[in-house]
Amino acid sequence: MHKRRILVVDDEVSFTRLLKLNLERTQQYEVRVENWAEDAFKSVCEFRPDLIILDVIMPRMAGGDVVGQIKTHPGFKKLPILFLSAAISRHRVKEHGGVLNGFPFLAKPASLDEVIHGIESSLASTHRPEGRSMPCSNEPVAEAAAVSTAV
Amino acid sequence: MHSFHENIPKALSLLSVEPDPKFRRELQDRLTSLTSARVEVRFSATALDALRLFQRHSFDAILIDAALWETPGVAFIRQLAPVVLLADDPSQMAGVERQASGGPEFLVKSKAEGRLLVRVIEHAIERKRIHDRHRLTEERVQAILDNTTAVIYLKDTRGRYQLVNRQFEQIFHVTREWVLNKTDYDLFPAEVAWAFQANDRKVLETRGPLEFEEAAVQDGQPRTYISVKFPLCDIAGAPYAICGISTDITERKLTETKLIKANIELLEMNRELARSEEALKKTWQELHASHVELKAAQLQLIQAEKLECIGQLAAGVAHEVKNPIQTILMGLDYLTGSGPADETSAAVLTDMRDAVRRADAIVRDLLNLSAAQQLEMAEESLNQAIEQSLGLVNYELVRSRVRAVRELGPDLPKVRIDRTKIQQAFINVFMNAIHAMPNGGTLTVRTSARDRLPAGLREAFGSQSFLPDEPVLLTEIQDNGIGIPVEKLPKIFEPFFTTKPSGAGTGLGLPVTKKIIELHGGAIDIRPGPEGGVRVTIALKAAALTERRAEPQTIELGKHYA
Repeated sequence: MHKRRILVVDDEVSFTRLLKLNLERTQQYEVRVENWAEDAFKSVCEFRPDLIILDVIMPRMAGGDVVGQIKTHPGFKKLPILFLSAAISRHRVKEHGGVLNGFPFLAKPASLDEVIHGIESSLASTHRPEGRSMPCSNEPVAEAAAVSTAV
Repeated sequence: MHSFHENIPKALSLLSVEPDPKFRRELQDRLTSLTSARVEVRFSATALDALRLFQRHSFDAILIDAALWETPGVAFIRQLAPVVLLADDPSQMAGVERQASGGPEFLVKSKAEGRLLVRVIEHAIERKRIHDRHRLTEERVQAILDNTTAVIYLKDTRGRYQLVNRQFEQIFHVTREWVLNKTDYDLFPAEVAWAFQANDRKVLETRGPLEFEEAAVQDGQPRTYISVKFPLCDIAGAPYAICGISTDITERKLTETKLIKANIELLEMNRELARSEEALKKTWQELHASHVELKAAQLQLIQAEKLECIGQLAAGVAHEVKNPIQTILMGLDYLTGSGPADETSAAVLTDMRDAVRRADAIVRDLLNLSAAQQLEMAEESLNQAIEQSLGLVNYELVRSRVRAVRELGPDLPKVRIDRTKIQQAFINVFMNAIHAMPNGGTLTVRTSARDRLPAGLREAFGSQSFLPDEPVLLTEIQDNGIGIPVEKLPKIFEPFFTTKPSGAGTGLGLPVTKKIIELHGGAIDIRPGPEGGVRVTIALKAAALTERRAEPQTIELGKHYA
């Protein structure tokens, strides 16, 4: 069984390094870290993850905007995204059943177990993303429109 | 008549003042020939002789010839002894003044013989005796009358003065001789006289003593008298005179008036004093009350300010703190998963994990302090919220062997609350209670609806929280744990104040709870329970009265902290 590809988008370098170490040690995941939010889309295109772990508050670009960028691309519409952020309290997340604005959410600080559980739940409830070979662009909206016209 | 003579025990001793030698002899014969009485007579021809004899002897009576009546010597002695006037004919007697009493008996010489003469003499003696006694009485009475300070007077029924005492004379500057037969109109101004006589008439009508307050003028000055007036009646009971005894009470009355006035003034002053004392007391109470209120408000303000500050600070740094905590946690997870550690390392890792959890809790609580704008209000069941909160602390309840007793009021009105926040508040209180009962105990949760806030709580909450007649929902949370010292009560809502052992609490639970309750327009009171432990009372407004509309809330993942 091939390893799930996880893209971690978070500006906390030390955290992302440790998360990568932890996840990869389980032998279940292949992890790529992207510490620059504005490069997230590019990383998605290159890495083609099965799931994105996404921070919310990052310099220059917020997590929500990253989602907007990714989701407008038809190939990534169904790409599961797991938010992992300090922006919202654990209590509040729990209150909303772990889902905020339609996205699974984990509050920082989260333990490795919680993260893994979050990943697995998200993957389980999502179909495998299709169109792995879909080309990527830095202008996803225009691209998506062009693609749909072409088809 | 016989018996009358027998009453005279000794011989009658008489002095005759008789210039006519012939009549002297005749008189001698007539008297000595008497068989019915023994009589001794000494004769004098002149007044001078008579005086001499009178000085030397004592006489029962004196027989005086009318011709010598007015001579000085005779005029003197006739004042001092019973006298019989002997005249040649009745016309001689006309010149002699007849007095009401004590005056001489008259006898025409031709008839002055035998038993008649003796009878007249004896009559004269008797009259003199009566007269003397009468005069003595009169003198005594006059002395008494004259030496009293009261004004005493006697008027006949026609208002004419018959007798006045010396006081009367002195006060009204009259003599008793002048005033005799004068009326009040002769002595006083007409209106005063009229008033006096009016009172006199009343006495005559009443036929008994009456008391009047009478105004007179003395030396041009108005005086006030208290007069006792009473009628003098004859044997038939008909009044023939009015006697008055008047006492000048001008000074007394003046003093009395002054006294009354002073008394009234004193009373007024007393009242004034009482009033000002009352006012002072009231002002003091008001001052005290406002001072207490001010102090409470100030304390609250300081607390609120502190909380606000901490909240803002927390909001600012929470994210920055949570990220390093996350990193540490990941690090711990990594180390824990790096193969079997030795016992010490495992313990160190556990401690570190605890520390991370605690740091996270502090950040979480701090953030809650700044959560003012984030209420999500909905009409909820208070009892349900409590049940859910109890459910969330069930693990801790079981672990600490604390029994939860629910006394939840039935059919409570709904409350408009942010359920999650209220639950958090309840959980904080429950956790405090559980921590206060490390060896087990009972946690009693009681809910009830009240028409208005109970008085004890109104005091504790101050006047701002609830209207006087506002229905409230009360939640009482009572433990039977270790309790809290009274002196620490004022500090329990201060951030980072905790009675728990270091590390066991964040010191933010109660400030957060209070903040949450107050955001709901409610109030919280914490005090020692009636049977030990601590009683927490939370008052919330019933739903009908909290019309604040809940803002639909979405969490913006993108711009949340932008």
